[in-house]
Amino acid sequence: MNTLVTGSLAHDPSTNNPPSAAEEAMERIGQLVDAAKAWAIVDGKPRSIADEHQAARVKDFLDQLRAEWKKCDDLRKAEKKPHDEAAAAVQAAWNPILSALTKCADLVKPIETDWLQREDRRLAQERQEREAAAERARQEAVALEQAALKAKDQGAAQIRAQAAADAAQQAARAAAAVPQRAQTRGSYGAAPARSLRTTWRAELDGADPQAILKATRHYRNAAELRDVLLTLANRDARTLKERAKIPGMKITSTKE
Amino acid sequence: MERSPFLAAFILDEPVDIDRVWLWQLRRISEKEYRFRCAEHEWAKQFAPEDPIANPTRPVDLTKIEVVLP
Repeated sequence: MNTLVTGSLAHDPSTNNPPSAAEEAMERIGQLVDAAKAWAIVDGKPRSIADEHQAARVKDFLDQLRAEWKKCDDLRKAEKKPHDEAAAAVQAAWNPILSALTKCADLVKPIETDWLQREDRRLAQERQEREAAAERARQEAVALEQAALKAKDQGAAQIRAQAAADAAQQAARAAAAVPQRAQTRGSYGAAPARSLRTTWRAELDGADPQAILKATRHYRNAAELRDVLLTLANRDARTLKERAKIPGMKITSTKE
Repeated sequence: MERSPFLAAFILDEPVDIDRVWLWQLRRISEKEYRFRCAEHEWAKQFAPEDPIANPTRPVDLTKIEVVLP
């Protein structure tokens, strides 16, 4: 029973379309899968080769699997080739066009970036000035309020204090109204507004000779660091074999 | 007239050039195994004509023969 034939690959005999090479291969692959299971497990336990004849048979089976893999891979390549060629032709037709458009944008984008950077600086300065003015107005309002409490003509003083408080509130609103970042919006509104994007990155502190050591210590629990160390150590272990002496690494070998 | 002993080579009981055995030698087998292989070849010719042992001079295409079972 071929257990690998699934809905998507199974050939539908009700249509006139001939089965694809992959569909045709499935029956044979199913037999090989069943044989592999029979080879691997016997009476619920992993099989152990008992004699030279069985060793030769298992070698033949493995050779057969390899030959079948190569045959299927060759068929896959042959089936994929026209698609690759068609895809390459599409790429060849469109890439120069896309590249020209990208270069055009690269040529003009710095002008927009320069404007946004200048606008960002201007807005930051304006915000700073308005915040300072708002703070001055707030302090003035507080002072007038306190003065009104002691004034002889409390009515007039309270009016002045209220006016100062209103002015301080208005100044605070004006400071808050300054945009946080500059934006360019097209006149047609066809695309979203653009503003400068802040990106953050790290680099090794060149002035600190212990920088690598400190960073490694900081990231000692990161799985990625372990992977990098294993890659480097495995490279040395493959080259130096039993002569490899790597601090913190145990060098072992397996035959399979 | 009695002849002196001489070296001869046979593949599946057919005499062949001695160099073919001498130069292609892979693994020494006993006469008993040789006889078994010859019998296996005869059996395969009759009952499993696509088995490589039935056609020992034809290149083996592992993708065309029966799946090798334990």
